[in-house]
Amino acid sequence: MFFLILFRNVSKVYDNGTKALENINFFIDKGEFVFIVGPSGAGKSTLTKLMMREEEPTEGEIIINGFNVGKLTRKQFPYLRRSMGVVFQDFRLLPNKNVYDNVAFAMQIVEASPKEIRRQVPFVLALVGLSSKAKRYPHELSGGEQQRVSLARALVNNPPLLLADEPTGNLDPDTAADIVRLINEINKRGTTVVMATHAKEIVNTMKKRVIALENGNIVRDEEKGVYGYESENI
Amino acid sequence: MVMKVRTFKYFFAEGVRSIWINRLMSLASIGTVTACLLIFGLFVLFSINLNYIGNQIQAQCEIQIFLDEDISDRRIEEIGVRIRNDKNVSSCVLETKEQALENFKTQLEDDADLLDGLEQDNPLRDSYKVTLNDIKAADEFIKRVEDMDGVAEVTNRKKILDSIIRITDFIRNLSFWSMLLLAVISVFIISNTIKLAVFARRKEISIMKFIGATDSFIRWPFVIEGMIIGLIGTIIAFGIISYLYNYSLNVIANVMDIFKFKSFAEIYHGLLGVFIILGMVIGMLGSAISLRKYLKV
Repeated sequence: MFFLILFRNVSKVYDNGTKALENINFFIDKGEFVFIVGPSGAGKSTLTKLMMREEEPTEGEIIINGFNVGKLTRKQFPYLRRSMGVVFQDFRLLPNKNVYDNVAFAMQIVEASPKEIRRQVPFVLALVGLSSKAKRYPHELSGGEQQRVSLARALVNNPPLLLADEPTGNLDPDTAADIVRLINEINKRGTTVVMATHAKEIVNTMKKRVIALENGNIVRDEEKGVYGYESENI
Repeated sequence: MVMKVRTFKYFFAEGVRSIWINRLMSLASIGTVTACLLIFGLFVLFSINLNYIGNQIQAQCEIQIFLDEDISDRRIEEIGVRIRNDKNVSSCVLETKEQALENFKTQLEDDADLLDGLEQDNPLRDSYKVTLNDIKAADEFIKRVEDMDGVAEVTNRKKILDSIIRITDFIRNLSFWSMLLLAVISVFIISNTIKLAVFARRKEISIMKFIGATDSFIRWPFVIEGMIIGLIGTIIAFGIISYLYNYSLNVIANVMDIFKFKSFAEIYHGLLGVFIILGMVIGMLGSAISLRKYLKV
């Protein structure tokens, strides 16, 4: 079994007693494209937080890229996080660095050589279509452009996994479609993609595997799935 | 993890860049370091000079040891050796009775002829004039000397000695505790200023953590930044202090010349060393301490 991500009997109860996830089981293979869907409060954010080890699982076992997430020490967190590229709803770019330096920063963290950085950064910027804006600062860019920068940053070290938490949440539908097309492109190049989302249209048109959460439980896990929850207001 | 040299170059560049980008905050931090070191430095100079003056007072406070009238030259020599070998003796000068008479005459000035004819039958005595290292142990010293064979009398100015001891002790205690207090206050103020700077950048820090930066990778640029800020503040404070000190020395020298003060040239090496170390350590510690809270993501 060449799984990249494994959740086995995972539960998460926050300190204030909130049960966020209950007995979650699934695994994701290399090269898959998986949507995590569900209404607000269903546990999508908790799931991504557990994968990044921003939160610790209360019970069960999580294995990601060979890291046993629940057993990591604080000093090991950075290495788990380096094994995946992460994209957030609010982009999370460094405001004082220009586009090029934001992307290069992810390589400086892993102490890549200046030569590698000079070669790799323009390459990923071209991949996301931002070569001409390398010297701009985040506040000079549109939302879609900022999300492209954060995608470039997530991909620059060639991680096997791309984790996207509501990547289109702050974007208009056209821009959102562009970003998802780009993510799909990245998936076709071999990167496993896990994307938590609210965007019904996107999920329904993509016809990818869908894991649906509700009240902290997996209610559906199907290949070529759709969003469901027709009644929900988004 | 062992950091590569180029990573340290990056940390340094990043530290300098961040001082420039957050220049208002950097200016505030530099100002704080300067102000603290300024007060600290003025206090150090003040207490160095008080101590210096205390030593001068102590040095002026001689103990005179009078010897027996018919003492032999060899015995005088022996007593001299024993006094000079005493661990508490800083200087010891022999005043023969002939010299004592000369000095007496000089003191009397115009009336010196009163003493004419005494050279043949000198009523004065040979004596040793001694200054001590530790004036507090004067009593023990006097007892040791009084027991020596050939010593007639030791001038005992216990009251004067005691009040000098009290004053110098008070000055030393006051300066020590005040400096300690100032140092603690300085660290507190500076770490608070840096805390503000770090708070303004907590988002940046959490982003770095999310994309896999290690704690030390995040910490180093801040620490170097704090170090540079401390250094700049130090240099400014030192410049102001050297100007102020030389200026005040001139003013004081014109008004009063009983006591000598340390010249700036005598003390600036030590002061600069302490300043640089203190400034950089305060800056670095301030950064590292303030960061700790935000690294726990």
